[in-house]
Amino acid sequence: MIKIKNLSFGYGKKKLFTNLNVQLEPGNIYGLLGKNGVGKTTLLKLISGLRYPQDGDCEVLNYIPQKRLPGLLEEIYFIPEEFFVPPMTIKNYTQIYAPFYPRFNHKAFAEYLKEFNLDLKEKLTELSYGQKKKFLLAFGSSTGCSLFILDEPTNGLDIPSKSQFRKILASALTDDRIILVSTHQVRDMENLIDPIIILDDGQIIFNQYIHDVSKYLIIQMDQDLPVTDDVLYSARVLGGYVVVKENRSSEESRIDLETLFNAVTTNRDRINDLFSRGGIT
Amino acid sequence: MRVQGKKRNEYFNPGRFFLLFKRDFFTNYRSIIISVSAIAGFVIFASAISSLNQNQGDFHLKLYFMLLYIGGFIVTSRAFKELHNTQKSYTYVTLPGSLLEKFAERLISSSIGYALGALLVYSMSAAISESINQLLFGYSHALFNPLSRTFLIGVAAFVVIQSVFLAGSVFFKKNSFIKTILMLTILAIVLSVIAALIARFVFWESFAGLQPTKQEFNSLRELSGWLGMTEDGLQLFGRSLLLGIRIFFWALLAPLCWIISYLKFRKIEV
Repeated sequence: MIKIKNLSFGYGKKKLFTNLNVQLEPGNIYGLLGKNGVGKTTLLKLISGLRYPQDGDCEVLNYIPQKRLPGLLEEIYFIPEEFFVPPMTIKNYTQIYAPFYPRFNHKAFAEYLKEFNLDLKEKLTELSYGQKKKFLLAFGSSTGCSLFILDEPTNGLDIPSKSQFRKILASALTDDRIILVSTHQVRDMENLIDPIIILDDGQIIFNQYIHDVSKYLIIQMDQDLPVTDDVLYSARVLGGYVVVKENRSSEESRIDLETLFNAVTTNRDRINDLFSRGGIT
Repeated sequence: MRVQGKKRNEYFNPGRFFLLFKRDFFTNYRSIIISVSAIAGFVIFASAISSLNQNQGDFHLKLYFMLLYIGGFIVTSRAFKELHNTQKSYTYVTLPGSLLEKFAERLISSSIGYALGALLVYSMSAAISESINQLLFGYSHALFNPLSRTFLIGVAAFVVIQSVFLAGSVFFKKNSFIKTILMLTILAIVLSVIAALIARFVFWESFAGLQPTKQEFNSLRELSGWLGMTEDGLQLFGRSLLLGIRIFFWALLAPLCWIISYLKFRKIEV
């Protein structure tokens, strides 16, 4: 479990987070969404002990990340957006790095490599960016870690690789594992990330399961601009308007993450009020 | 259900410590091979050239120390390069190993590890080069004894001075070798100026402006009398000062640098 309480952090005089609170439970693939520069990567770094909070508490799997104790590091695997791979073969990399992870699953790793069409004899530095990312994804999934952190994982992946990525990530989820994905590519993550966390103005402004979102909100296409009081957000698109409304009919609609994100960032108070009230009263 | 292994020590585990050495070696083996080849080539070449002048009994000892000091300080300055590289630092910091293990691994690799590795490579290169010299010039330099007092003191001094470069490697993000040299130069200038000022104030009667007058002290008695001290007192002061400097160099400097470096290492965020 990850517990962040009243966390504050900034770079120089610029404050990024002020009294940020969030709690993440195992058995979920959390999607961390936010605008550019809002601090998504920084939050991932704080959780993994790469950065230290300036104030407040951050507890990950009953450890304080900034102590960088091996007991926690064995449980974390972080794939950053920009990464480095050493000039060696996949086989050598595995021989050197896998022993650091006591629960490394070699059988699962071999299956992931097969899925991604990667060979043990291939040299990491000779792989394309997308192949390197797939390799790290396969390695990370096999470490047996309890916290798998991915920063913009689908950047640089081709269309078939994105499907493979979703498949691998879904299969990597276990009851005692938290997968935390920070992304701009929300369309790549649909039907995968749940719950959705939205970061804005130094705060977690939204942290809800998709099931609850579809219970309280409805996203639909309208021909004309709606003017009813249940409208929370609308935007002109090809062929009409995409509209986010309070769900007063108990019908469940498909949740488009991009529209949800725009709705929450533009009308956060009303949407949060709706969720805190438990829907329509 | 997850199988929990035997709980390992969170601060120091020999198995993990060994894994860090193994990782460091296999990640850098190309650089090591290039360095070893360069050292071997240089030793063979320098030894052949030096054979033209056949009166250099301690040739190999001097050359070894030159390689040990210059090469060792450069290698040490790069010890924590990975920590200052944005992409590499993610892997390094999140690698399951304690801060103490990671620091100690780099400290040992770049000090004793480098000295022993250099000795091994040097000894082999020297043996080859002297065989060639004997064949070509009918002369060979004497090899040095790695257990001699001179050798051991030289290596010990390397480990002490190396600690300053290790601190530089932790503190400076880029060009740490040059910056450490620059820092040491500035420190030497500052200390020289302070020493000169102290001397200027203590011996102010011997100066006219910045120019020393012709007053000279031909004996310790004259100097001690001039300073208002007994001869024994002055000798004791001088011996104490030298002993203090020796203690600082041999016993305090390296641990001080290691502690400062470790404290900074713990605080580095990436």
